[in-house]
Amino acid sequence: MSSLKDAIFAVIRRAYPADEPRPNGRLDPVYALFRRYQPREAERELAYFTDTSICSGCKSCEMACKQWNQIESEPIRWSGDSYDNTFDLSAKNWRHVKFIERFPEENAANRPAPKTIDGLLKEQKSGDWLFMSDQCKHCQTSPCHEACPTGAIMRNEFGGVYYQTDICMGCRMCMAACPFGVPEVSPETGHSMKCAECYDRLRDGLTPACQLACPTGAIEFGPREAMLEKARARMRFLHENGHPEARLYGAEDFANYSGLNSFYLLMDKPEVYGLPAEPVTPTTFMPGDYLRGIATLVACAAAVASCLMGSLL
Amino acid sequence: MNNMTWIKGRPSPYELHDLTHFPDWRNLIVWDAFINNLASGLMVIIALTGLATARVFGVLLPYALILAFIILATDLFLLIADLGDPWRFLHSLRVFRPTSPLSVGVWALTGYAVCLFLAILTTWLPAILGVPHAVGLHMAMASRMFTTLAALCAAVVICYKGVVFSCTSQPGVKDARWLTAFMVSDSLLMGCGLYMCFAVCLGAAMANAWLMVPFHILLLFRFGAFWLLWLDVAPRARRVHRSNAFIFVMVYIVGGIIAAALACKGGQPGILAAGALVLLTGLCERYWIIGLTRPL
Repeated sequence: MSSLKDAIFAVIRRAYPADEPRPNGRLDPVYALFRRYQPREAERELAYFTDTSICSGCKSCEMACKQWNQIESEPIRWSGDSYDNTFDLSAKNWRHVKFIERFPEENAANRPAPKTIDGLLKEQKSGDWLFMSDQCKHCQTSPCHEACPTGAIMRNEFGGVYYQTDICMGCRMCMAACPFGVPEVSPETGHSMKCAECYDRLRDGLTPACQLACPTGAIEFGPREAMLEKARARMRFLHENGHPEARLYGAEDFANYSGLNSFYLLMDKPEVYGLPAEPVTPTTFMPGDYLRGIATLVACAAAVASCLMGSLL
Repeated sequence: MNNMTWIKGRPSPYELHDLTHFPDWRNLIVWDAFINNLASGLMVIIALTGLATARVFGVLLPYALILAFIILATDLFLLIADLGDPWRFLHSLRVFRPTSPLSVGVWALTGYAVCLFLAILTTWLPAILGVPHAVGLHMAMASRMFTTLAALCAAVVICYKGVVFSCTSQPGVKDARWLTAFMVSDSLLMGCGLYMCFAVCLGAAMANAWLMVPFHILLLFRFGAFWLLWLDVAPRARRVHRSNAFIFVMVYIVGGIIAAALACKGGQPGILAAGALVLLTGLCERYWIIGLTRPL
């Protein structure tokens, strides 16, 4: 009995440190339910820069993410038309290395094989691979954050978007709002989940697990301005060396969407990588949609009322 | 790239597919949208008729409030049952976030439920308990006040339900700028249709005569709003529903015309049939609209 009492008092003591005045006396437990702490002061904005031109598709980042965040692995499924068996970002896959495999349908296996390395290198390519390590974009103005009705989604002091799964009620509005198809409600827990930007590691001065595990240096993480400089320098290098198709995605604001705190250097147009070319913030239309609804409501109500009043007269 | 010619005409596996995650908007969500619009549309019609012409609709009002409450309770049940973690529904009442249509809706629904409950209490208690005349007058005034407040909250509920779909990134509905306007006109029409059926069941022929013109006006409003909605979503509707997209529109228009004719010429059975038809088309529309978000 006393241990239970001690446990309860331990919780209360944690919520109300000794030096803090009690605001409501006996109403403290009720007050505690509605109590809000001040958010931490914003620190330097951190961002990911993913260079898809040097991603080798090894999926080390996926593994590191699962390992650090203790996310259960899923049973292996085969799509039948790709070497990628992660399929998509989900509640259990916070990172996903996309494989873009584009090959001609005719099988060229019966051609004579080149006899030398030079011959192999000079051989005309008949297909190509693109890889992209995808994750939450930690948008600077995030639709999921705006759409959440419980306040479970917050922006942390490093500019990342963090989901508090202990508050989420599983309404799926974040899923509906995200133009990139990132968050998903876990069928097991009923709560929405996605990349947490290794917030626990950041708090301890470490970099995210995926960045640490990347063997080619395709994933970089650090202050946004520094990442931007790196990204622009890399794009310049690629442009100067025969790759005019290289482009940055999400580094700057889009026409109808904010910039991303996880931006990419792509080697083809965004649609090829399964990214929207011009994402749109859904709340852009909110005032207009409400206004059209209210106008219709007023018009309908006025028509009904005038009919009734007219009949009355 | 060394040789880009092969890429032409060969889309990547990610192209031409929906990029967003499907939020599993299936039966429960469709029924929630339907019942939600029905409950709120009915409340607005009840309040409009009850306050504008109390002499005619005053007899129906106490029973209609109970009907609205039952439908609202069903909607709240559906809304909560659809959550991933229903026990955490109260978390949405810890904060108010105007940028979240669902937050606006949850608060409006809560206000609607509380006001409607108080309206029912203040309407029925004097009759059940037999309170003194002076107290009865105050209760009647309170009843009118709570009915008006419930209708105002219901009006917010009607408006939020369209926005909660249109202000997302889901294909189809994200382009439906007139979805809210359509849902508003449709919910009022469904409310009116249900109220007419209710009046028939309670034998209030006079009430139906008064509601006949508003019913037809609301039908016209719905046609107009649906036409504007169709202009927004037609490309997606053709991809998702294929040839059924156009057939549905025709069935919908013909159904509406039949409902109008039945209400006019069919007598009391005709009114019941017209009300049922309006509700049925309302449910089908929601399956049709929310079905636009289905992944291709």
